[in-house]
Formats: sequence, structure tokens, C-alpha cells
Amino acid sequence: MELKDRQIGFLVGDSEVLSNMPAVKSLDIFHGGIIEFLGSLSERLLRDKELRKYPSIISFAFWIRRRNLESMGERYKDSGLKLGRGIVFHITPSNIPIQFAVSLVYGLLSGNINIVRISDREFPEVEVICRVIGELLVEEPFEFLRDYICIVRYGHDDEVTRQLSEICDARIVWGGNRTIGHIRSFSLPPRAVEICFADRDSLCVINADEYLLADVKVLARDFYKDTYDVDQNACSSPRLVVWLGQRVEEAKEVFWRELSEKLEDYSLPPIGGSEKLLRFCVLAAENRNVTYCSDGAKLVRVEVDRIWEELLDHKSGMGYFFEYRAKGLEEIVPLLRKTCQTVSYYGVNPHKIRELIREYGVRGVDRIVPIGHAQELSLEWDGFDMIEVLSRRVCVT
Amino acid sequence: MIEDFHRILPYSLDAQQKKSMLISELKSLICFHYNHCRMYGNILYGLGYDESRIQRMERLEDFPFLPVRIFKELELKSVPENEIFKVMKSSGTTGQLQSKIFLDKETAILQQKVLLRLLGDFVGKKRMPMLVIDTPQVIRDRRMFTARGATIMGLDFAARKMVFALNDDMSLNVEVVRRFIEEYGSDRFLIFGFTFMIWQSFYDEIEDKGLKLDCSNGYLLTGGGWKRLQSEAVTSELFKERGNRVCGLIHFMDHYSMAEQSGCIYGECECGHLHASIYSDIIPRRIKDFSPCDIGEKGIIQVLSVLPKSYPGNSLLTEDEGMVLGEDDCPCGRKGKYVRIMGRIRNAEIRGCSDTYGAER
Repeated sequence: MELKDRQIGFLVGDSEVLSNMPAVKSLDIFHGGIIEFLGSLSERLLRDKELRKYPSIISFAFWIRRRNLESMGERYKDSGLKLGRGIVFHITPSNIPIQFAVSLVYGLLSGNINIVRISDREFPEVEVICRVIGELLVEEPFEFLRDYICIVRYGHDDEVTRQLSEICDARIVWGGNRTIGHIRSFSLPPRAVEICFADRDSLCVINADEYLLADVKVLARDFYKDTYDVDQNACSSPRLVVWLGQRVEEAKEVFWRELSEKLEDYSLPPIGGSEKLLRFCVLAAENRNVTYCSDGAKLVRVEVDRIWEELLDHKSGMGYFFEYRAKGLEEIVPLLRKTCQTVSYYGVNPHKIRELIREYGVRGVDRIVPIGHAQELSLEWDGFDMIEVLSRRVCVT
Repeated sequence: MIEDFHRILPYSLDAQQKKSMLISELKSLICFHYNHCRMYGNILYGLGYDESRIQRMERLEDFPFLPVRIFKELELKSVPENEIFKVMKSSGTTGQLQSKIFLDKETAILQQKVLLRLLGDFVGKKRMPMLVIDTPQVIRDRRMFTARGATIMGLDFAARKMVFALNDDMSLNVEVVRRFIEEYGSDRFLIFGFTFMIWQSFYDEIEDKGLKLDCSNGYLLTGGGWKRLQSEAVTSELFKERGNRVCGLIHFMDHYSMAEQSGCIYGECECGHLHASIYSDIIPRRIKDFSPCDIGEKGIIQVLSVLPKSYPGNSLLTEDEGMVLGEDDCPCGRKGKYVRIMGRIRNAEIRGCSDTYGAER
């Protein structure tokens, strides 16, 4: 590779490691050394009291506890020989600092050599994790892993992207449809696979009667976690709340009141209020059946009296919820289109939702999770089993 | 009726008098748009307003507002297509979307009339020749027709003659400027530009080239651009002091305006305050719940204007931050609110999935 004169900053690894990557051997999935390494990373991150202020680091560290990794590995136990595909080129998001690390874990657990491109924007979370990874890699048991990880920063140097794409065996693009479109103009080797995480939207279904029997404070906290924790801007953050059951008006009142109480500490981005108002105006201009309800600019609800396929195209984030009262679960079917990722629920049987997906053969919905679990880290994302996709199976007959 | 406003000096009403005139005019304008602009009607309906609620309004703070970016998303007009006389387009600093403001003859003339009245209160009623510290390219080339170009176009009719002082490469066209001063310098004239361009392309060049220009009869009208200068630690005082030193400038007038409410400028008085006239008002609002700010409290600026008739732009929420400094008691003698504008609100980075690569471009 002739990347020497290009401006690449290495947070982990160096140009020599990078150029040697094609010659590095692939590992088994859930390789013992990798589990040890990630387990130690988890310990270091959890041990550092300073890091308590970064909840996303803590949940990441919890996710990669040795124990947890081992139990995740159970599923793949009897699948014979499975090896990493080779080099995985990760293009990770500029606004969720932890995502690069999650992506790296996918690549490592599936036995691959990893080039992780992170954005120029500086986040303390990124610096911390890279520093600890760097520290571990000079320790004796993990030295061999140095060949497996480069975490790089480079501006918008398409030439670098092109060259890295040429040598990789798998490319992971963490979305934005526009980014995906751009990255796709750099071709991959014939055998390489690509996973793109496109823009998605999500919704939430609640049975009002069940809700009123529940611990509403806990549910408010859980719902907050799925939404405001990430400015309601993650693909899995619900944009619409669908109410089922009888006592809907009562439940709505409690639900939003409880949520409002959680919002004291939420700092709305300065542009938030006008952005939400703008999105509503654009929607309302062509639709007479929508009503703006705002309890302070932090929480905006838009009541809709019908559901149509493009409704969620009008999403905003930062606390902007459509709300609909449905007579039956079937009413949500039009929303389960390609872009729909997660349906979170409370008081609704998840198998009923799954049956709906099967019955109508819809193109969307990859996850059905209880409220509070929308942001949960997983080896399965957007309908892909990351271990399966990033590894190859050697058949012996 | 708007004619009633024209009979009154633009900075002569106290809060009570002004409020009652504005409220009654705004009621009738907003109801007009409600009934004549389908999309606007739908929006207000969705926000929970109908004619009777608008008619019952008693406070300026109660009028519904649209985010100013709506004009980039929707084509809002309240007059039939064949009455559209001119479409003002501008693109802000973010994104490629252009805002489109539809003007009929009546609104366009009204904007000009009011602009002249307001400007006249600061620099005199006579239309004057204007030296624009910018390149003619900025209005010539549609593709780069930016907020800068729109502001200049907005001032076009306030000038007897408009002369562009810069070449396309932003260097000073010394010949043109010298001729302008020779021809008009003995009488009052206007200079217009954005502060950072005046600083760099006018002051710097005059000094570098050792030009002798007498601008003591000039009224330097500026429209923002302070952010760029602030980053170089140039204050308003320093800016004025240097202008005086390099070319003898004495008269300075900054102003705040926007294409979406053209005509209603907020001019800077000799005390350095920006003034709302009888035709318009400013209400800073709190970020957390849009409630109106107190005097001296910073908020997002809502602007109200009684000029827009062909498009529903009477009450807009801008993306600028500012505060009301006082009302009716500016030492300059002008009545009405006087304000300070701090500039664009910080476009705080938002968490969540979005573009990983392209968006940063």
C-alpha cells in the first residue's frame, strides 16, 4: 500500500501494522486470546472510577465482560470451524463515540484483523478507550493482537478510503444513507462482503391497561434511556407511541407526566425547540389530522388520528413523539416498512408482534424488545448476526 | 390599516400605543394568511389556532410563530400565482436549501417604503449613492446568491445608485472607489458591507495601498459579520476607531435584518443599540419552553412584522440569539424596544445515528 504520504493519524497501531495486515492470519471466532483481551479491557474500564461519568463506556464495558462474552459464544459452539474473513474495514459514526469500539468487538470476536476509521471529532470516550487498548497491547499476553487492530483518523481523504476498501474482506459502514452512498462508490474486492447500517426508524407499542398496573416510574426511566439518552436520535429510539387497550387517555396522561419529570436534567440542544416545531409545521402543512401538544420545548407530542406509511419520515428527535391510539395491533402494519428497525413494547405479547411480521411478510423490523432495551448492545444488529456475516465456515464432508 | 403606521414617526410610539396598533394589525394579517395560504392555515390549525382564537389575542407574546427555516422547506404564499412580482431567494450558511419569499407588488413596495423610512430616521430621508464593499458577483451569480446577496438586494432601493467596491477576487477596485468619492464624497453617501469584509477588504487595503480617501460624509451601514471579527478580537469600538483613522469615517450604523422580513431593519443608534420600529417587534424566548425572556435575558429571537402580506411571515422564530436591553428609554430618544443580537445559536451537535462520513463534509 502506498499510504505513506497520506495524512493518517493512528490512535492504535501504526503504518507498519497497517501495511502488514494482508499477511496476518485470521483467528477462530471467539478465540480465547480475544476473549481474554476484551475481558481485560472490560476490567480496566470498570476499575477506573473516573469513567463513571460516561455511561456509554460503562455499558460497553459490561457488555464485554469475560463471562458475558463466553455466554455469547455458546451459541456458536457447535458450528465446526469458523474463521474471520480477514481484514474488516470499519467506518464508524461521528456522533456516537462508543460505536467504533462496538464495531471493533464485532470484528475481533469473529476472528478478523481490523481497521477502524473514526471521525475527526474528538470525544473523551474515544480517547480513553483507545488509550486503554494501547496499554493492553504492549502487555505480554496481548502483544500478538497488535497486528489485529488499527484505529485511525483521516479527514475526508477519498483516496485512503479507496485503498483501504481495496484490501479489505469486509466493510462495515455505520450509516447515514448519504455516507453509504458515497462509500459505495469505492469498490470492494470480488469476495468481500459489506454491511451498511442505513437510516432506520423505530416505534413503541404500549397496552394502556397493563401500563397503568405497572411501576410507571421505572418505565419512565426505561423509556428515557431509549430516547433522550441519545437525543432520541438513534435508529432504535422510538418516534411513535402506539396505544392499545381501553384506558388510553388515562395512561397517556400518566406516561407523559412521568416522563416530563425525568426531563429536568435533560439539556435540550439550543436548536431543538425550533427544529421540532419546524418538522411539525412541514408535516401539518399538508395534513389536517395532526395536533401539536407541547409541555415545554423538551417534550413535543404530535397526536395523529391515522397512520400512514410515510409518517415517520417526519421524525425529528430531541423529544418529538407521534402518538396514536389503535384499535388493534394490525394497524401498525403500514409502518413496518424497510426502514423500521425496532419495535419496543410494554404489556403487549412480543410473539404477537413477531407473528404480525410473518403474516404480512413485511420488509422491516429486526428487533422486538421491551421498553428500556432499545439501545442494548448485541452481536445481532439490524437483522445481521455479526459473527456469521464477518466469518466464514469451513465445511468438511 | 398599514397606512395608519405610515402617518406616525417610526420610533415615536411608547409600549402601550405600539402594542395596540401592532396587535390589531397582526390579527388581521394572520387571519388573512390563515384564509389565503392553505398550508399556513393547516399549520395553525395543527398548532391549535383558529380565527376566533387569533381574534381574541391580547398580548403580542400570544401570536403563533413559524420557524424561519420553514421558507426553505415550503413555498408559502397568500396571493394568487399571477400576482407574484418577485421571489426573494437566499440560502443561509447551512445546507443548500434556499428560502423563498414570495412578494407581490404591494408587499414589495411596502418593504421599500418602510426601509426608507427607518433608514431615514438614522441617516436622513434623501436617497443617497451607496458604495457596497462587496463584489458585484454576489448578486450577479445566482448560484452564490447567499444571505449576503439578499441583504444587499434588500438595500438596493434605499440607494440612489449602487457601486460595488470590490473585484471578483475580493481585492479593492481602487479606481472605482476613488471615482465614487470624487463624485459623491462632498455630500452625504452610504457605505454598506459586512464587518469582516470592511475590515479586510476595505480598511486593510486602504492602509496597505496608502490610499487617501475622505469618507467623513459617509454613513457606514453594516449588517452583521461580527462573529468573524470577534474571533480576531475586533470589537465594535476598535472597528469604529480604525474606520475613523484610515478614511475619516464618523457615522456608523450596524443593523439587524433578514430576508424573511425584509424592510423591517433594526438600526443601531448612536448609543450602540438596535431599535425596533413601530412596524415590528422582537421577543426573545427561552430555549427550554419558548416562554418570553425578561429584559436583559438572552433567548431565541422571535420577530414580528406587519409588512408581510403576500406570504405568512409576520411572526417568525429566528435562529439568532439576543436580548432586549430596554423599552422606550434609550438615551437616543427613540421609543420602542432596543436590543442586542448575539448571532446564530450554537448548532449543538446532536447525539444519535447520522452521517459518519458525508455529513462532516
